[in-house]
Amino acid sequence: MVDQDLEFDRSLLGQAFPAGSHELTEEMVREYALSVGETDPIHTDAAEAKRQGYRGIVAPPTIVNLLIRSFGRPKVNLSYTGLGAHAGQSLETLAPICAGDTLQADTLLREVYTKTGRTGTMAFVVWETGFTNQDGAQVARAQESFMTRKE
Amino acid sequence: MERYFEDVELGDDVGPMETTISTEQVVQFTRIWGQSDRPSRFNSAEKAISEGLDGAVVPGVMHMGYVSRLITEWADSVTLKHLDVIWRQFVPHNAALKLHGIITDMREEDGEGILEADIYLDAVDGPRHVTGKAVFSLPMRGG
Repeated sequence: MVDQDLEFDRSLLGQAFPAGSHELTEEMVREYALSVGETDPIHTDAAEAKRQGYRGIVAPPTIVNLLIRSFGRPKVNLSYTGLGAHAGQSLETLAPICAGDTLQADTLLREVYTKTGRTGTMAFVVWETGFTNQDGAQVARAQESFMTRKE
Repeated sequence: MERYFEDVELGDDVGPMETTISTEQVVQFTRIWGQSDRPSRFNSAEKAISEGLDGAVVPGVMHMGYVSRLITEWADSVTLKHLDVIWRQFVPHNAALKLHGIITDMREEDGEGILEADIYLDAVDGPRHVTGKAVFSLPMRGG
């Protein structure tokens, strides 16, 4: 449901936008793994990862979250201007991601809707992003939901 | 821990795992994330307070990594397939946190043991910060 007062650029709905090519370096994968407390050596030790059959250090499944913030997405021009927050995220993992991979991202505006609760009306903007590796394999799909209060 | 699909029953606990996300870890994360060049609600208490928060908070995409670990550290050969989280309350820095889950569905699909779990990230002495659902697989004995 959409509040009739809510204005945004409806022409963006459902349109896919290229969101760049992103190389995952060993340093990035290792530092990300350590920052979220991963202890499995396949995330930090290339020799151990290769011993277990991977082509390089294995990225924790949530690493694509790092890339999403860097996208230059078109502005939705939401008319709500209150406090905003990232309300939720959904991640589907489809294949391992390893250091040395280059991921191509495509993002689209999936939906915009409103909800009214005890604290007032909020708009939710949902972006969906797919990631494909250098071999053309789809490796992950993410949905992000951003909330903005009406005032 | 080696764990097979057949070892699990509906209603089994996943975890718990207790942790704290320190200010230093958040600062490291925001640097890798490319968000450390300016004060934000994540790395500056002053900025967070100016936005109406009680203090600096952990980025959702960072504590989602900890929620993921709840699953991936539960069994040696687990494969996370889908993780869906709803952030209900901001997670402050340096707070004692408890991650836990409960198995809500199990099925065999194409020779794989698929499990679903409701998952939670709570303050040890306080509110629920995150709820969610995870879908993951475990190897089957003789598989």
